[in-house]
Amino acid sequence: MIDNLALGFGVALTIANLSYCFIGVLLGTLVGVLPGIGPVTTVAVLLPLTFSLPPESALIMLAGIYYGAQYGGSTTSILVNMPGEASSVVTTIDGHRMARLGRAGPALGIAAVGSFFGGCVATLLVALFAPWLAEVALKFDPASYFSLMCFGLVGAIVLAHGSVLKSIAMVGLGLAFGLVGPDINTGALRFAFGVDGLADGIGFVPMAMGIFGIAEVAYNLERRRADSTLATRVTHVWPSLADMRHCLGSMIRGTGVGSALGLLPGGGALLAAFAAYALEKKVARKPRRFGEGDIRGVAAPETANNAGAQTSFIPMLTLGLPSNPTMAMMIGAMMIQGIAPGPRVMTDRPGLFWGIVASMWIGNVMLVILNLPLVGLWVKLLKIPYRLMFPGIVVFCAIGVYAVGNNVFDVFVMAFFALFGYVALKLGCEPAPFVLAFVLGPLMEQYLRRALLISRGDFGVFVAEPISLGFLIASALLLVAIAAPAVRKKRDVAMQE
Amino acid sequence: MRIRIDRDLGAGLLFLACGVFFAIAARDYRIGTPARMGPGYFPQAVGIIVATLGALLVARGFVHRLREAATLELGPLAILILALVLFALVAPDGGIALAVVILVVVSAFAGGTARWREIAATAVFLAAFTVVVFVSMLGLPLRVWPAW
Repeated sequence: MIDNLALGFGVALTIANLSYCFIGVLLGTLVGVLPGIGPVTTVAVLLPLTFSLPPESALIMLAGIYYGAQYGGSTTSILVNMPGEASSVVTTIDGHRMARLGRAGPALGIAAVGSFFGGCVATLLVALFAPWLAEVALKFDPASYFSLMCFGLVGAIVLAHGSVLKSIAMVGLGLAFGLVGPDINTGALRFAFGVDGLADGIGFVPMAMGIFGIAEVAYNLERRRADSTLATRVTHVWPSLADMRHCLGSMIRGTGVGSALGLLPGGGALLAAFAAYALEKKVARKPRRFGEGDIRGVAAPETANNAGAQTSFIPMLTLGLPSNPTMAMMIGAMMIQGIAPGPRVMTDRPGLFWGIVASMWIGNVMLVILNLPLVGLWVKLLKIPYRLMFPGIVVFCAIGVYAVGNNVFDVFVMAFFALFGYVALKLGCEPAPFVLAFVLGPLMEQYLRRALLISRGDFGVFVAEPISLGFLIASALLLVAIAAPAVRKKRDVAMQE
Repeated sequence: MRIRIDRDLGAGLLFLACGVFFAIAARDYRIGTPARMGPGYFPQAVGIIVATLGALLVARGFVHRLREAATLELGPLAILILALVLFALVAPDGGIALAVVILVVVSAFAGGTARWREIAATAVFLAAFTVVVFVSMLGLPLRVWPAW
């Protein structure tokens, strides 16, 4: 592992890649801070910046953008009570309360320290376990792979908000849209209807930007947002030693919870933050103080969401399985760079893999160095009204989509998915399962085909193979669990909190 | 442009329509057998599943009607889409600078209150930003100025 890490640092520590990492973290935070823009939108909007870079630099920069955005989102939650994405909702509970009480500084500080702590430990976990997992994954037969993807999609369904039925349907629709274009086995062109632009299928970038960029803008515009309460004065950001000691336990528990949940398909930062907060409330000696500006209520979810953000790279890098929309975006970026995601990435492009791992750690260091002194600037950014911001988002999406292939048709595709994403959102259908299924659609079909070809059409192959059977049982258990009324109630409560 | 519809009913209709569409369109391609799947096999299966779920949702929507109504406000979205279409039509020959200005000016109307000075400033700033950052610094191969 030492050799590998050395290789990784060799890649990540070049001047060029260090600056891309820095620019990524900086821009990610800059955009992520803007109220109402979450990490997914940030990554989508900034994706075009990476098109012309070599693959290593592009992914290092994107990863930097991702955790920058994550951290920027926390800043917004603490200062203006307007979380950009669900994963920072928990932080608002105690964080914004602290800001109201004049303790915005320590809240921001502990969020930075916690994120750093969680991020470092989780990066170590990635370095330890990812190679092992990739090795295991290389031995999977097609049936096991198919079942693994089912498991991944079921995870996405279970963890989506709202109706399970709608989430399953969104998965189906995602699979279907993912199939548009040429069939790899036979070369037959499917669902193109003579439209030239569809001859290569629907692009991931226009689809994702339509849903997470334009549709989000439309959704935000109609909720005429009340002017937020901005806690203005931020003094001494560094948390006191007493605060740190008070939070140490929360940060350790947050890291554990976050790292574990980040691995789960459909998990990642969101669930991690919720679970860590709930756990803190359980173990705290004076739980009543939570919700009243308890610093542990900031430390735990912030540590957990960053840890989860890092470990969610494990399934993405080793199995090619995106556990959340941001990871789907990373996979999209890899495909644009001509890299096929999956267990082979580690053996075929060790520099890329270990470079990303090393840059995660570097990125976390940069986050701390960058954020503590720049808080003042972020506070100023928070005052930008949405009416000035949204044209910028629209422009970035349009340029990005247009520039991927210098292709006008992709802009129309984006417009179509903007409409689709908006309608789905309003009808209570989560876009995340759709996007994950869109990425997995063609792969799932491939593995299904191969598995059944080997078994000569016998569907029993999926239960005959022990690994495959394991994934199917796990998927079934998850689905049964979510259908059980008791669990369901609990999930709804957790989602609402 | 406001549409009020029950969430289950609306989602159900959407899924039903898409599912039926994919299932029927898939019949143009060879279906094949499980052992030798044609290009139509998987899409048809997926289409049928989506359509079935859609039908279930429609049924559920009728049972508790309008309990969870959603209001679709299509105005802002329509403006954004119009802005994007104009952008796409102008960009190839008119250049990215002009296209961005048009995109910003039109999409600004989606926000409701139009403040001309603000919009003009935003448009110029974003067009300059696009040209400097995306074309000059990042080297994206885009036409900047009009071809005419």
